[in-house]
Amino acid sequence: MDLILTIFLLVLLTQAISWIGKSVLLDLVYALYQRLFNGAKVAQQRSLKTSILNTKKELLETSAQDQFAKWAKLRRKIDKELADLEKLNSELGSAKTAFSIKFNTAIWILTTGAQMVLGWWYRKTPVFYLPKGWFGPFTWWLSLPFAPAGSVSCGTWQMACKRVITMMERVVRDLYASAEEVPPQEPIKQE
Amino acid sequence: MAEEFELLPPTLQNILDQDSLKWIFCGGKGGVGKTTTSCSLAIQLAACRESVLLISTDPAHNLSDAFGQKFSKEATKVNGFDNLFAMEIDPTSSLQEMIEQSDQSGGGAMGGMMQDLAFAIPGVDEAMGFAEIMKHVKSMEYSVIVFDTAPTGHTLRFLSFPAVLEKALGKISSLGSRFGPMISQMSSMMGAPVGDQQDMFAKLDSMRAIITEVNNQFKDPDKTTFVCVCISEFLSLYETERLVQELTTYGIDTHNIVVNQLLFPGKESNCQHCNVRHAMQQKYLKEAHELYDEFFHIIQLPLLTEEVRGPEKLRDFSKMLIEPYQSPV
Repeated sequence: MDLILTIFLLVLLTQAISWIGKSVLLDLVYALYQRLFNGAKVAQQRSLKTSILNTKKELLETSAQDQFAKWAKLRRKIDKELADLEKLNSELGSAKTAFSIKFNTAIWILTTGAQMVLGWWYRKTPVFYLPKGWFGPFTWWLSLPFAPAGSVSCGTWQMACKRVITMMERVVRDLYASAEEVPPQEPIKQE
Repeated sequence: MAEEFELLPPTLQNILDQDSLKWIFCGGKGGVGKTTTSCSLAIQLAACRESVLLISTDPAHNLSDAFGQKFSKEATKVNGFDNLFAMEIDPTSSLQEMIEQSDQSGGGAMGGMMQDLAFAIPGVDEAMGFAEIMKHVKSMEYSVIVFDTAPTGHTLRFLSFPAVLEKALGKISSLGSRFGPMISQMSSMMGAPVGDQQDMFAKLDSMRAIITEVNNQFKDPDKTTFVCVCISEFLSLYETERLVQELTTYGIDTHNIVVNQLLFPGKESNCQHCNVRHAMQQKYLKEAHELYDEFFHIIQLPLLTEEVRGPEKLRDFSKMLIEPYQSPV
């Protein structure tokens, strides 16, 4: 009993993740990760940006002709801070890339990888037995590749779950879409 | 605001004192008195060094004008001095010569392609001409070399990017080495002399080595320094600031600024022009002091009533680099 449910839940999880979108999940988790581990750098980035904006405002107010020394010092400050910001941005960017690689790999292992491992580990175990003659004489392929004859193998069950879940998703989406369409149409009809 | 630091003396004595200096550049945009300053500096250096070479890469032959003597691309002794030599080189023509030489030695089609490749990258013609000069100059024995730079500044920029230059020269030589065999086959088919590509690329490679070595020398503050020449006006000051920042970015040492063409009108002067200009110059001079006092010597040179041309006038003018000018008021 456990096997059938586990496989179903695993497939459901995989589909759910792909509905929500990997990048959405990545962004959420990364935001959390950043707050925990990279807080200092992010704070520094923010403070650099504010500092640059303030200095730029000051520069615009300083006349280059009349206060050249002050103007030049402000320019130097801006250039230096811009260079620092560039460096910081690239550091954070590469950190994010590294993190996203790890995250995507982890997700893959947890979903597709787990499915494959499960399917291979229980390859000889039948998920459930079909009542004889349900689908007629073509039931032999349901037990592919390794399960005993007359049963449904893990691989087949995985495929079936996936098909069903995808179909359900489409049904739900269509219902939702039509539900959304109906209310706007009604006011027009009433007019 | 108290003087927390010592004001650096407004003379170029620091350059005369620094014995290890080998390369001194005088630069600044727009007729500010580069040549006068470089000639004066060379004259002062000649008094306390074994031998001084003054090089100008400006095609306008300004050194010849300044000393009133014809100079060429071979080092010539300056009249009236024992150990001062001058040389005027046109960098593009030296590159031309190099290519022509290789043409003559039979590089035929290769030479033409080389020329196109060489001029394709902006600044490379100047830099390669510069490299030729460097090679030439390194073989000569001078204690210090003063460069009167042309206003473009491309050369310095290109030279101080060894990575870019390495890549550029590397690409050229790799392209050549790839096409070399094919071209040599083609030329042998057409009956033209073969086998000079090796020569060309050996030359390129040696040049790359020289450029890298020269670049390392330029970034060494013990060996190289840059004297910025300017006038006390807004645009010149702005350019100087830009130049200083660029030099700092490339790692070339600079700690001297010469402010030229300053007016020193007498107290009783009623010339409106002079007084107004003087006020404006003082304003910018004050700004320059505020900006650069900590790290730079700021030397003030006057605008004289006569042109500074000829060895005697230059000699007199050069004294003002060491003893600050006292206006006769």
